[in-house]
Amino acid sequence: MTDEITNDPLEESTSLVKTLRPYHVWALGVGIVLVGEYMGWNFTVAKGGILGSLLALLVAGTMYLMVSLCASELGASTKLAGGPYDWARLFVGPGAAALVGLAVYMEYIALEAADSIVVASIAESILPEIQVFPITLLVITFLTFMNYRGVVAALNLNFALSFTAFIAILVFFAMSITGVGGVWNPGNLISGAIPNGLIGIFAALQFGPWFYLGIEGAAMSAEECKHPSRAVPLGQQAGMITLLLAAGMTLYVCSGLIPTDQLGVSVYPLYEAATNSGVQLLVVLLAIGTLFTCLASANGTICDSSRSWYALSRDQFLTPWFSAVHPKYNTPYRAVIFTMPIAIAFAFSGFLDQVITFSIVSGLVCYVMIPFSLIRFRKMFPQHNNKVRPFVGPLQPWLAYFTIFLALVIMSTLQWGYRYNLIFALLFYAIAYFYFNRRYRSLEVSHDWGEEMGWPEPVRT
Amino acid sequence: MGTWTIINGVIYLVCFAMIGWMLLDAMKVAKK
Repeated sequence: MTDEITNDPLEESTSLVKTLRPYHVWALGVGIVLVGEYMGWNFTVAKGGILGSLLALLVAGTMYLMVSLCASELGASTKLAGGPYDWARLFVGPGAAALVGLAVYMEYIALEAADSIVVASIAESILPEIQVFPITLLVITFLTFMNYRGVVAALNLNFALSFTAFIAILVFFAMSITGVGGVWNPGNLISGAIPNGLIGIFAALQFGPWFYLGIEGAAMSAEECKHPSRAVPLGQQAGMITLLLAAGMTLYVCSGLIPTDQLGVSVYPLYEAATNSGVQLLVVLLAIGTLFTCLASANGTICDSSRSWYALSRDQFLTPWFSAVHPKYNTPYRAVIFTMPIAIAFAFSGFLDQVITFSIVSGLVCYVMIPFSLIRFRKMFPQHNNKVRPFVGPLQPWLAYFTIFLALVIMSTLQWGYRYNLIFALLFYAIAYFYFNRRYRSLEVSHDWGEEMGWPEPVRT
Repeated sequence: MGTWTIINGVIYLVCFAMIGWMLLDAMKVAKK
């Protein structure tokens, strides 16, 4: 009798399960990004010195704060798993949607590959006999396995890893300002303030996104949140505050403990600063933090890239085959598995800086499109009510216009060192835009706002 | 054969086991 009313547990379902809380959103956002405080940000010092690094931290921080405000408003309103992709699809058009979906996917997949390479390099530096390839493969397959088995388990793991890594920075900073964590040398700030003049300060902006790259992905968990209109803004803004604090503390401790010429080329600046402090506890703590933050970042990027692929597939930009949801684990399991070969291909290319630059350009494309989606959203739905817009960001749409300007300025600074990467990436996305726009033009007018979103008809613009 | 060669080989085996498990489970779900 019960067979008649009980669904087969192995039958595919069509929607994701709503289980996530605000701390999961925080863990997803901070988990992806915190690796940027442990490494990579210090290239700003090589270009623009300590002052250039501070300016890059502030300019990029301002841009990301505004991007996350836009993302929180859009995420809380739409509550869809595709994040930036879904916002572009609803408010801009199919070409822009496919462009953003592809950019998000590439941004996170490239980041996952880079994180895996770094974990393997750390393992090799500790145990020289171990090989980089099997460890890279192990990181990618294990984290894909975790994401396959369920989003809650994957993000609980991310919370534990990210929280530990953040506490490590906090302890280092506290010990440093109290004089227990080594000799902090203020002379470094003066000697390495502006080594390459104003051009250097401007050029340093290109590495500013390292401090925050990927935080907008936290909003992509909206479809799996219990209360998305509360969880997304709360988790994402808390994540952004965490990152701003972590970035400031990292710059402070590293600039005083590592001479500027060494800081600019360091592979693991926080770990190196801990080594320079001479405190064994800090060395161990920051080594653990470095490893954990790479794993958390790779784990979060699998979650986000698979959701982006799932959303593209669900709306038939790709074959609908990828939009199947696992009946037991409630994950987009085919999209999750498909992240694996792409990440392995990126990782085994071995060009870490090229992979990361592609990720940064892809991210910057999103940072132009997210505020643009918000501008369109506000024009199409000017009503301020709980149904359409449960979270209303301040000073919009002016902040959105300023965000686009900052993203374009940061993108332009990539011409110092990565000109051909920038041209190639922009060409790649331009072709993708025109291809998808032409192929899916019919989708632009097919929204049933009442049925799809529960909203009134938009104001035609 | 050295110890580290075996360890590296075991890591590969663990990876392939996880990939195999995911693919088999995905096929099982898809058949339903």
